[in-house]
Amino acid sequence: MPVKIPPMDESKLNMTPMIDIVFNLVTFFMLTLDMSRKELAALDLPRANKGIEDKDPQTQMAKGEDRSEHTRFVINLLANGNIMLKGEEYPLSTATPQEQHASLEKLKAKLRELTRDPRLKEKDGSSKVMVLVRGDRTTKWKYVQWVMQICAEQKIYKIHFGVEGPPKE
Amino acid sequence: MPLKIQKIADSELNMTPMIDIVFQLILFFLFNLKFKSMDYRIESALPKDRGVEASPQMVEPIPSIKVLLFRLDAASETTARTKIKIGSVHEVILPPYRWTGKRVDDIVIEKERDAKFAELAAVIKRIRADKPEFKGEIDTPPPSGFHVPHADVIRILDAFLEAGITEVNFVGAPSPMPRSQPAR
Repeated sequence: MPVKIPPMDESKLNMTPMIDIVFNLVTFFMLTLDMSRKELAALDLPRANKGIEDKDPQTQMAKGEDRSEHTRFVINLLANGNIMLKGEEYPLSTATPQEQHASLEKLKAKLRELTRDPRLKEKDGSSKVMVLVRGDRTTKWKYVQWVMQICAEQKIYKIHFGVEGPPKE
Repeated sequence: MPLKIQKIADSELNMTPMIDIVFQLILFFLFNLKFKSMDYRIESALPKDRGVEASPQMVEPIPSIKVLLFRLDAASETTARTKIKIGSVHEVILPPYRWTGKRVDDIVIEKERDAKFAELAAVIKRIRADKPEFKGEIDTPPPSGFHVPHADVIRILDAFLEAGITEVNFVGAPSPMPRSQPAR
């Protein structure tokens, strides 16, 4: 018997579920894409109860206020032992002493470059720049000491330690 | 003449422009919504006389409550643990914590640490009650001090803050930085 192929109707595309999919997609991107926080590397910050809420200093500037008073750079000490500044990673804890020296020299050079502007300096030569040190919980203290030392060498004395606040009950 | 009420034909709602409107709305909220920051910070200021040659002795020893941190079995992955001494009056050895990276498990670890560090903050507060002019000092003496996890040192700084001491110095010579040529 010849097979009968039923004629196919042109069916209208039901748009209603399409909106739900769009909602889901957009929600997904809203939650995952955060361009402004790229400098904040993913790591587990140490817990502290007496930290203050960290708002980006640039967002705290009032109109007309000098940008130099609100400049902050973020140095991340990652769990994998690398140090990250301005998106660039430098190997530290997993490197040989020579490589570590090279990483620290690059870090010093970058900090020097970032703080070179005379507008970023106080009258006594110290830097107006703040550095947010975001160390992973497991980072050995000596690496944090090195970061503080490098900052002090560049006359950066304002150090913030990134911490995780107490859990919101 | 009797009024003829026209039957309103059921018209199908055209959904296509609705999607465009939804797009617009969502883009609007996307650009305006700023998520509340989960990060906190502890502000500190490095002493201005600190330089490359940081001397272990300050010019004049500031009367302080001294907390020393050591790392026992620093080389071991499983048994390394932090020992904390408050002057010579109190000593705590923390169990070897290993953070898993999973939030649920780490919260349990942090709760336990909350209790231990609250105890340390209470001791510091007690000492401070006798000597209110004392500042704070955090020392990580070599060789094991350099291996103390960042989290423990920050918790001690936090304990000082909880006890009401805001002037805390990190003392002791920092770990020597690596040289470009290995020392012969």
